[in-house]
Amino acid sequence: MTGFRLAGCIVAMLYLSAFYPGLARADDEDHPTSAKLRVAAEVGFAPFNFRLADGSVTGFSYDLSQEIAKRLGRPGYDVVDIVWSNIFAALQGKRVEYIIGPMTITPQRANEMLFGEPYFDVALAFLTRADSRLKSMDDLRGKTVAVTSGSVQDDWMKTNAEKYGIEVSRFDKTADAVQAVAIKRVAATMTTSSSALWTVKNQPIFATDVIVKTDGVFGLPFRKDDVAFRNLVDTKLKCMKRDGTLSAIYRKWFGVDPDPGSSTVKIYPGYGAPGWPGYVAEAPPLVCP
Amino acid sequence: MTDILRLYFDFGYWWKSLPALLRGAVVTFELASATLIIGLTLGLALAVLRALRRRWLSIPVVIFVDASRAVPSIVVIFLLFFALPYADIRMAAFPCAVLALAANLAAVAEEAFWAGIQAVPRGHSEAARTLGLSPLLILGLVVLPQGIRLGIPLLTGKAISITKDTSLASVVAVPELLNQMSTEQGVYANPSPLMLGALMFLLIFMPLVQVSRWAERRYRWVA
Repeated sequence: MTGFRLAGCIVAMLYLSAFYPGLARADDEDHPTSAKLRVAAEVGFAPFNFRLADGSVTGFSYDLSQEIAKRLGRPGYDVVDIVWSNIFAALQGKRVEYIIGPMTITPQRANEMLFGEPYFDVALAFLTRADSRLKSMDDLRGKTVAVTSGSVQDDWMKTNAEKYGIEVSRFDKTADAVQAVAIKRVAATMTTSSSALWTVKNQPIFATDVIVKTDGVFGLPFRKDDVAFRNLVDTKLKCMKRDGTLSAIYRKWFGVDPDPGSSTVKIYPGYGAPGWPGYVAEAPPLVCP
Repeated sequence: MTDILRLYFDFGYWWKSLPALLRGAVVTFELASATLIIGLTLGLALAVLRALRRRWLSIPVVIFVDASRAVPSIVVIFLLFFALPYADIRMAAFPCAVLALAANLAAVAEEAFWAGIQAVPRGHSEAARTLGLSPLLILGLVVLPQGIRLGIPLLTGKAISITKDTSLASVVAVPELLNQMSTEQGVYANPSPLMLGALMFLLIFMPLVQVSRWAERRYRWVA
């Protein structure tokens, strides 16, 4: 190719590529009603999103989002498996519509994303081996604890690890952090107490120790400008709380009914999480089909 | 466009994540240095073993080299870190990563140096023999100095690529730069630290790239 033709081709390619994003953006392309609901999760965080032996995904969060997809009238539901620390970039980059992996509402996250209303109370716990239990936080002094990169536990470690003399190992996937406990590379992994309790129930080699109570709650995160969709999903979530579907899913996975005062039962006024950025206090009265 | 600036070039988050990223950069530098030193030395040693032209030495070397080139480094890192403990062997994460990467680099370096050694004209060693030098002296004084120089251009590109693979150590919780980038972008729920981390990778490895350019130019016309 002569120099001019080559230059012309390159210019044409650049010109077209500048338009391509515009071509892709049609009305409500981000949430097409005819397509499957696309959500992100870190698959491997039992019992919220994890894989069975046959490769299918299941879990509390999985069931929750499946119900939401049904109520939104979507033909189906796709979970994209992304490591936790990249999951925010996936949402911002419009690769998914929201994140179903259980996400604790924190100030930094609330600044970058729009949260739906709380649906689960969070307590943190240490998952250890049954043959090397911890009696208190002091037992962790000088030991190594594994966390998932970018999680709330990672955050907790940033502020508290030095105070308790803990050495931190940061893994991309929760499953790797749990595996590290099994092979005695670390003394414990810090995770959500519900996850720890579930893991212990199904794999007796583990034990749960030292539960740290927090005020944290899980909320569904959306893109900051995605207000209409957040409000819509919030409505579905409220209806699920009202007709008991959410409590039924909770009972299925945790064996007991959720606490009457917990965020799994309580229907919050307005849209979003009260007290956090993006909260809308006024909402029309709830109408559930 | 403003989205890109907010998500990738938010200087507020750049500033906040800088201390953690700098700590990670130091570890990446340590991993890269260890890999280069151990890998290149081992590679040269293996090539020398092969140059001795003894079958009982050459065959194990070739087996090791072929296996190292065929298996991805990350698989070796995973096996060393997660599988060995079941045999009660627990190596810390840093040595696991260095071992895997250095083995990979050694295999590639051995092939490069061996090609260089073989490219030294036979006449040189024959002339040295007529001067009465022993085979070992021929190897050390005549063949190796030239062989190494001939092998260097073959080595530089691959050495850079394998050394960049130090970011694989992130999956076994070595607190190097990629690991810190992941944590920071998770904590702030904003990918800006990723961009800063990418720039820091550039700064760390650019000197290596420049050195290899210089080496390629310097050793191009040899013998």
